[in-house]
Parts: sequence; structure tokens; C-alpha cells
Amino acid sequence: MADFGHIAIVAAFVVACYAAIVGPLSAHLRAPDLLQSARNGVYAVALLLTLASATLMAAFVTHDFSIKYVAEHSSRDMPASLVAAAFYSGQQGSLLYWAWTLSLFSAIVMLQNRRTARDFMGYLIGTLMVVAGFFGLILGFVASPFEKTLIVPAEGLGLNPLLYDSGMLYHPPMLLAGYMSWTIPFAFAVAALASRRLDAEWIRATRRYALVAWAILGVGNLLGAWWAYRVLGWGGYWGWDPVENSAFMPFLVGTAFIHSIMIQERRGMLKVWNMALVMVAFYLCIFGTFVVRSGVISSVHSFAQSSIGPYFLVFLSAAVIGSLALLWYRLPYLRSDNQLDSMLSREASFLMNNLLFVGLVFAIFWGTIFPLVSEAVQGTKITVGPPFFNQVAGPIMIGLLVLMGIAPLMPWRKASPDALLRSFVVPLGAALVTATGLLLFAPNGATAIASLTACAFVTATIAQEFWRGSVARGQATGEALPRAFGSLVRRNNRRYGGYVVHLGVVLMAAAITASSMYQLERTARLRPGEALEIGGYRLTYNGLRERQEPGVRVVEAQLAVQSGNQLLGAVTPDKRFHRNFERQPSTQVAIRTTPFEDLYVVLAGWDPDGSASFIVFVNPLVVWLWAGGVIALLGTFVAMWPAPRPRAVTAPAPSPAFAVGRA
Amino acid sequence: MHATTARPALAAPATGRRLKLLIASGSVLLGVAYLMLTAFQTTTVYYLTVGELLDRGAAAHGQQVRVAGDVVRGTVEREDAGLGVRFLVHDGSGQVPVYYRGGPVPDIFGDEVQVVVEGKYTAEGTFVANTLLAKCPSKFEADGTAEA
Repeated sequence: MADFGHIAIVAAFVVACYAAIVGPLSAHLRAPDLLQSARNGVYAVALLLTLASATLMAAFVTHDFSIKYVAEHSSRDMPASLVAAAFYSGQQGSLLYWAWTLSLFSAIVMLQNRRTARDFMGYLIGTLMVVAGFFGLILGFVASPFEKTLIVPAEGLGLNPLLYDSGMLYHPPMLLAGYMSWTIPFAFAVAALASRRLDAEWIRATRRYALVAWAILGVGNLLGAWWAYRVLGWGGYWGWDPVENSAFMPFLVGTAFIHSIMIQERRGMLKVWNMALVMVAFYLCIFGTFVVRSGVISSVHSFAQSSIGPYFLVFLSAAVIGSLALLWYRLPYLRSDNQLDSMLSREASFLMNNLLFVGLVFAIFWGTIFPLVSEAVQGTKITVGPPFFNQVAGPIMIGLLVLMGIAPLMPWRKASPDALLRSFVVPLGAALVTATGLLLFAPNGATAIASLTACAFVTATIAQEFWRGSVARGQATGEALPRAFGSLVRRNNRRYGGYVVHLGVVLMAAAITASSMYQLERTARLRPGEALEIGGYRLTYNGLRERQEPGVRVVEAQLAVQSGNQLLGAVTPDKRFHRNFERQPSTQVAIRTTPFEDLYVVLAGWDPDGSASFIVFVNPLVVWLWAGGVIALLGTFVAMWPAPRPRAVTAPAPSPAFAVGRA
Repeated sequence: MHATTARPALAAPATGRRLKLLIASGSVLLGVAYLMLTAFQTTTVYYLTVGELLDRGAAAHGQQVRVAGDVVRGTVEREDAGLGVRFLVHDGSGQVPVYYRGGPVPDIFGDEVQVVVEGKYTAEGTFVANTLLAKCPSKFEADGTAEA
């Protein structure tokens, strides 16, 4: 079985190399036969990597411990879902997952772009297959998931208890797929540059794939935060760890891109800038994959020092140099069609948004690699922790929030100050009321007040946009308001989907502000019968209970929760001792969620006399962080929904040279 | 890498507009730079090995630093039902007693685990930590979240 998987990977590597050469060659020689061959190569790579992945999955499911990777990451008594998830729990498997999903996405792109210009496709295939080939090289010859054990053990080591969580089922595959999927927009950018097909068509296609990649990466990040919040027991969901930062940076660059791309679509401006953003997002994704895996930056996520680091560094350098050189040579093709007419315009406000996003990424990047730089320059390692990132990111994010309210109300080209002022009367009023209310009732620092005020401002602008749009449509068509609202969103799905995403982001921003600035924390050691009080709650400790689950011994503390005289229920935080890992318990946080706040109870430890210690947090509004994420995702779906077909008469004639398929 | 690409292709015909744009973009970037500089001044901490910490001796007292090392086997003592923990941390160059209290102790913390502690070295010779991070033993690679 191991041999079969290994051969499939090596074959995928060989075919990817073939397609990587033949694709661009077909464009160069204008040879349709060669292009077809390269296309078939993409399908073959997808098939071969699917076989390899299926083989590894089968090895996990059948507990084939003759494969080292399986023996080191699973055991017979693990739940089936986690056995499957163990597939990507280590280095080799996660890289195979990366390569496999890339091959599938590449095949889908081939199917969706059957009518796209041939030379463009040749370079597109070339780029995709260079990346796939690189992963094939690593998986086939450097870090093979199919390495065999010398002596087949009777039982596997099992998964680290830290990963025994449903978060394991969602976060790693989503995040890795998010990293991977930025390869597609990058390949479109390279192909457009190489084939000089830099018209509006590539932008339309790239935007769609970039939105998909952006959504996957965003969900991956948020799932990581959700997992950390539920299991790590420090009351938070984001620690500015280098690995978190590495996943966040491409997401931010991607966010800048999906905004500035609108400027190019509409006004033919920022062409070089957009190219650069797509490229940087891709570099950061490779950098992120590298950081998780190399241990080069000291992080709690980085585990073994691994041999693949240098390969990633070489690949990343080659990608950066190659694509930037290509961009340099194509600069004459990327002249702006228009110029900025006014600072009071949507173009200008989007430009500011982009500068803030890129500035934020720059700051996070520096903070992340600072220990490396200071060691190289000064010989001493100096680090920055969460305070640095909070200090820098807080004001920038508030600035971004404010722009999120302003930019959509700005007209293209040039705004008349009067009309603009009228648009902002209601939102400014809402902001004023919020700020006053916060100053009177919850004065917890300028940052919190500024942030929540900005949230109110943006919410008001979004509500006003929906209201004005619906009323205007109702008047124009005679539709009743709810119906007008529906057709408004349906007909302008990109715009109003975007507003829904913004609404989700506002909720998340409010949740982040409230839960970090208004958090309460208490630690206490309690004997049975004793109670602690926090934020209006009274928690009475009623002793420990021990029970046995398959392969796991659970020690749980029973606490009754009261508010005033009213009994709200019980919470039972626990610690789980997994067989083989008796000295590494996994702590399960008990969280009692209401729309207003989370009561977050951690069992820190206990003494033989039955007393136990607890760390308790009250985290306001956290549930809106997750809800905001769901709303933002729904908004993304609305924005991506194919627009209603324009009537045949008004449809623009498809460009004969470059017709993007049913993307 | 970002700085070199951060040059949007914009050229306004009227110098006035161009100037305005430059001023606006410049002030945004200066603002970001200012935030970074002030944050660097107030939040950087030295990342030392145990040996480097001991070498600094009294000079390191009262200064917020971060120290990496391994927990010495058999030295972990918990107090107050696990609310506080004392242990020795060592690397090739020496060892130092650490006291940590008030926050969660990571699940993977224990004998011979690689830890990173942040806090202050006191005149009594104990390192009083306010942050305790533990890394997975190297045989477990994982890509889940694992900070303390």
C-alpha cells in the first residue's frame, strides 16, 4: 500500500513537471495539441494525487502501522472522525492535503475555462503545475507520507490530546485550503502578464477565484480562533502568535485586493498595484505554510525543526523573483486608463483603505520576523508580543472601520460636498449617540469608545443604504417595500452582498472590542460548598466527579451558576486524561453563552482534599464574533451569486480572443 | 517586499490633486510608521537563553524579559490546587527557578517540556513569570493552535 501511494506521488510529480513545461510551450509555439496534452496533465495530476490521498486515508482507516506517518499520528482507540483528521495532523499529510486540493482546484479551473484563450491557458497551466510540482517534489523525495516503519508497531502513538477536538476536523483543512487557493488568482495574474492579455476579462475571472480563496482563508482563520477559544483556556481567541499572524497576513492582503480590484474593473486604474497584491497574497500563503512547518520563527505552533524549510525558502525566493521580474517587463502594458479626479471619491477612499491594509500587514510582518532580524543585526533576540500588535493594529482597524462606512457612500470620480454631507447626517448622528452613551455608561478607554462608535457609524450607513435603495426601487417600479428590497439585492448582488459582509465585520469588530476591553477575570481556589462571584454571577463549587470514557479518564468539577437569587444552571469544566498521555491532560473549558456575554470557566487543578482552583472569565459579546463570521460568509455568497443574465440585446459581445468560461 | 510594490500607478494631471493625494497617502503611511515606532519602543522584550539571563545577573533584575528553556525533570511543584506553579528551567548553559501564578498552565506543560516564560528576574534569584507558553514535545507535529 505504501509503495502504491509513493508511486502515485512520484508519478504526479513527473506529470506536473511535464505539464509545467508543455503548457507554456504550447502558448509559445501556438500548438493546440500540446495545450490539450498539458490540460490532460492537470487532470492526471488531480487523479494521481487523489489516489495517493485515498491510499493514505485507507492506511489510516485500516490502521496500517507499517506506514510511519500513520503509526505516529493515530491509534486504534481514536474516534473514526479523528482517525480521518489525523491525515493532515502532521507535516507530510498536511502537505499532501495542500497538493491534493490544489490539483482538484486546478482541474476545476480547467473545466471552467474551456473556452479561454489558448496562450493564456498555457501559462496558467504552467504556473499551477510549477506549484503542484514543487509539492510533488517535497512529498516524493523529501518528506514522504508513505515512509515505512522498520518494525511494525502493534499500536500507534495516537493523536496529541491537544488535537482531540472537533476543531481539528474543520480548522486545519480550511486554513490549508485557504493558503492553497490563493495559488489560483496568482496563476491567473502570471498567465495574464505572460500572455499580455491584461484586459478586463482576466480581472473578472480572477476576482471570482480571489473571492473564493478569500472566503476560505477567512473561515479558516476564524475557525482557528473559535478552536483556540474553546480549548486553550486563557479566555481569548487570538494571541498574535507568529503562525496566526502568518495566516492573517494573506487574508488582509486579499481583502485589500478584492476592494482595489473594483477600482480597476470600473475605472481601469491601479493595475500594477492589483497585480502586486495578488502576488504578495500568494507569497504570504507560501510563507505561512513554511512558517508552520519550518520552526524558523519561534512559535507555539512550530514543532520539530524540519528538513523542508530550505526547499520552501528557495521556492518562495524563485516565485518572488520570477513573478516580480515578469511584472517589471510588462509594466508598459499596465498603464492606467484614468486618473484620480478628486480626493472626495470612491477611488481615493479605496486607495486609503488599501494603504491601511498594506500598512497593517507590513506592521504585522515586521513584528513577526523581528526576532530573526534583531538576532541577525544586533546579535540579541528581541521579540514583540501581543501588546505590540494590539497597539498597532487597534488604531489601524478603527481607521479601516471608519473607511468602511465612508467609502461605499462616496460616488465614483467626484463627490459634491453637499450631497455627501446629506448622506452622512444619519450615520454621524448614530455615532454621536453611541459615543455619548458609552462615555456616560461604559467609559473603558478611548480605544473601546472609538471602535464601538465607528461600529455604530458603519451600521447606520449600511442600514441607510438598504433603506434608500429599497425606497428608490419601490418608487421606480411600484413594488412594495419588502419586494423592492429583495429585487434590489438580487439585481445588485455584488454591492449589497458586500454590505452584508461589512455588517458581519462590524459585528465581529464590536465583539472583539467588547470582549477584549470589557473582559472580567477572576481566579480562586474553592473548597466544596464555597462560591466565587464575578460580574453578577455566583458560582458555587459542588465537588469533583470522575468518570471513564473509552480511552479517556475524565475529572470534572460541578459548579452551580446563580444570578441574584435565580439558579441559571450548572457548568462542568473538566480535564481529560487520554491513555498514553496520562501526564498531558486536555482541559475542557465550560462556556455558558448568552447573547450578551460568555461565562467561561476553566478548571485549573485540584488538591487531594477535594478543593479545586478555577480561572473564570466573563467575555462580553463573544457570540457575535462567530455570528458575524457566519453573516460575512453569507454576504460573500450573495456577492458571488451569478448575476441575473443581462438581456441578449444589451449583452456586450464576448471578446473573441478571451472568453472566460462559466466561472 | 511590501514597500517596493507599494507604488500605485497614479498620476494626476493637476499638480494640486496630485499633491493632495500624496499628502493623504503620506500621512496614512506616516501614521502607520508612527504607531509601529511607538509600539516598538514600549513593547519589545529581550528573548534570552537561561545562560544569557544568568550572565546579565543584577542588570536583568526588574526588566521584562522572555526566556526559553526546558523544564527540569522532577522539579515541578504546584501550589493552591494548581493556581501557581514552581519549577526549574534549564538549557545547556545553566538553570533558573521560575514561579508562575495567576494564569492558565498549558495542558502540555510538564517534565522536560520546552517552555517560554515571560516575566521579571528578581533579586532573590527567582524568575517571576506572568506568561507561560509550552511547546509540544518534538515527536508530535501538529498544526492546531496551541498557545497558553
